[in-house]
Amino acid sequence: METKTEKISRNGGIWKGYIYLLPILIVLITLDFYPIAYAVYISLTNFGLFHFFSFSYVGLANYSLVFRTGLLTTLLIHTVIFSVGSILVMVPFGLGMAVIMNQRELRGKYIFRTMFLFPWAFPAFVTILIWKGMLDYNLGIINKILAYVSISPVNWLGTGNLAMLSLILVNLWLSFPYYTFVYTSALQSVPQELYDAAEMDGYGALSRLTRIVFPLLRRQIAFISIFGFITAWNNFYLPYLLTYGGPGVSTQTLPIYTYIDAFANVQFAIGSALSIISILILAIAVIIINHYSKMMTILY
Amino acid sequence: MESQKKESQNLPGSKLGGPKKGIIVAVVLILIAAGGLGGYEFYKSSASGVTITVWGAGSAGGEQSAFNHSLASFEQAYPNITVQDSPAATLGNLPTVAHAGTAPNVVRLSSDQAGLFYSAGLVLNMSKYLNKSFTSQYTKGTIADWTSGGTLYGIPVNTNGIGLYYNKQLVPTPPTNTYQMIMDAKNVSDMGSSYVGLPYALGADYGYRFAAWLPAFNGELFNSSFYPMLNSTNDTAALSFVWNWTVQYHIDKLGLSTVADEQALFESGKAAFILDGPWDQSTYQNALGKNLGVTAIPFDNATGKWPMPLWGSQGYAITVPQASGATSAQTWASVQFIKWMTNYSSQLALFNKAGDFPSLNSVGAYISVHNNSDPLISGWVAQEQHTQFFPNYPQMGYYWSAFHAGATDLAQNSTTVSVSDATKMIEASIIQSLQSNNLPYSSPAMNYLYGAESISIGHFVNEITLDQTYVFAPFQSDVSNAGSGGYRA
Repeated sequence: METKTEKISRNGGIWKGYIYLLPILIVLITLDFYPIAYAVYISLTNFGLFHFFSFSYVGLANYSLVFRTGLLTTLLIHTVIFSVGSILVMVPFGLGMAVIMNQRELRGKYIFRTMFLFPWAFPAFVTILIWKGMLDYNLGIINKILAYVSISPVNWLGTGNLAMLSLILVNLWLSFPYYTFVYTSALQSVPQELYDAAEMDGYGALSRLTRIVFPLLRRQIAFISIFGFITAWNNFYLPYLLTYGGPGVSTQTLPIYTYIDAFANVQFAIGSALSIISILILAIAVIIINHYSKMMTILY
Repeated sequence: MESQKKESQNLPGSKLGGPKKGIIVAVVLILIAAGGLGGYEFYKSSASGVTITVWGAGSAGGEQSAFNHSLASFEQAYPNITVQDSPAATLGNLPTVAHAGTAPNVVRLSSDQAGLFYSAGLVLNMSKYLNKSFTSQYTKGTIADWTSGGTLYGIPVNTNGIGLYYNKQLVPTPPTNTYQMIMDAKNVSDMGSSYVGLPYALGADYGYRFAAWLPAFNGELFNSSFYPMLNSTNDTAALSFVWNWTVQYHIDKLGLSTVADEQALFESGKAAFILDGPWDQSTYQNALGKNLGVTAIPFDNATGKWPMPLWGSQGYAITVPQASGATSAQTWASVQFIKWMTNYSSQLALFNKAGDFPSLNSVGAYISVHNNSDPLISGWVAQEQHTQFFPNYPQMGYYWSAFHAGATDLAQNSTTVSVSDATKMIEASIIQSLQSNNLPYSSPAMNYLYGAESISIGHFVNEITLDQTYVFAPFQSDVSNAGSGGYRA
């Protein structure tokens, strides 16, 4: 039988918990839920060029419009190529670097770890502008190096497919330290005894990787892949600064087009509808992927 | 007189009611009658001050220096008006701050961007504050740039577009027709692999420079119903002509390069021509010195028509009180401010400090008298005879990236993509954008939105009022076009 004092104490504890949650709840409500709810509201109106100060409810007309005209398909294709392409290089590269740096016999691993932090710690916009200069057709150092080995200059940012490839590679440069460090910490949680036992059983490096590392890290890999996918999907500043969606519209992703349409063309309702579609697509993708990978269990 | 009346209606303190209002009005009228004071002079004598905010001051360097010069003289003339300027403000944020009611009172921007904001109801109808005698001081072209549906939504401070720069060392006499231009360019291209007669990175163009060639082929960007015309026979012919510089005449090979590459070639003396505007003139002057020449993009001898670059304008607009929260005193002060910043001495300072061509006829006349030995100015005057109206309707905003996509595709995949494929793609892309953004492109809809008188958007020729000695004889014949193609005054 619970005494009155115990009950008060227990209730006080619950309230304390709510109070501790309050700051993050306030931040979430003001910075996430309210803007999203407002964007949903705007997307259901005709707020834009011809209805700027007095706009009205139009239902799902904006959604119907972007689906009907086929614009969304083009934007989705670009966004998927960029997001999936980024994951396909970032995950193996990060894991590979982590495995290399996790070698017991590797000398100077602390120096390497510190050095590898630089691309991540350096301001991203500066890094992107440096890459933009390096990838320049005429003046870029990459083409100068290619010229030294008698390879014709490559128009990295002026050709559609290469511009997308450049985006993915620069994204890899910006992100690989993060992935490397997450995998490194995951690898360090694998008991050393397992490696020793595998070595005694005559497992080679590849077998250790496929039979120990991959099975034990599969949830981390799934988590990082989904996290990377979401980050790449929503990545605005990289395509904005490196290609501005060009050449033509070849690197125009959903966030870039949404921004241009809303702010440059004063089409806030359409822009909001596109951003809500983007959120819904991401949410559905995460639910489906999670259903199969159970990656979210890493969080609970 | 009419403007003075309107100004006096907007004087601060007009909110007072009852007998006091009558007394004050009477006193003001007596003062005006007795002292011959204008509304602004009365305002100057009032004790209370007013602050207005301004976004934009032109590009860094000469334009901002001229802005500061004019601002200083304005503050001296109107000691009770304080101007808080933000030269580096991002105009793209204007709709956001306007919706929050915290927009600046005045913005300095291009006529087409201001047109977009006017369509959204963000900037003020200036026709209410400026009468015909005021606007008649400006070139018809620049006033047209700042007019939509018969309404003036700002005051132009300059005017510009592209012309044809040439290197006198490689081309001693400027070409008078496109055949000559191509032959001159070919001679230079034949000098060696590092020479390019007419460098033009089609893949880097967003359609600004290409648009100049459309009138030479009877082409147009949008028809009178605002339907994009890129896939028309005439527009396709214009793009074919430009693309032939690369594939047929071999006077250009830049395709997917950048505009900076074009400029580097011209500056290093490896190119005969470059299509560019006066904003890059000082760079070319530094590189080529007296060998730099500029002339009108030459007459197309094959079609018998002139190419006409889009002739745009920068200027000042005032945001509506709903966007800025302006009081009537601030609106009045804003009107005085933009009138001052676009007046004779301000435009002359802008010309002297930044080389901007004026929108005021009187400044143009002054320049033609005092700079009559400057061959570059005569080149620009020649170009100004053959220009087209810079579209300021919202549909135009979707042309740029659509053209860029089509041009890039053509330059990148020339073996599989034809010129007509590219123009088809450009037009389809514009239509898709217009549909996606619910922008009308049929005549009845445009009448509904803008009023019937606004829908004539054909070619436009600026009416030049500079000293006629500067109008080259061969160009005069084309002035007759002024009334033929949807000319808007």
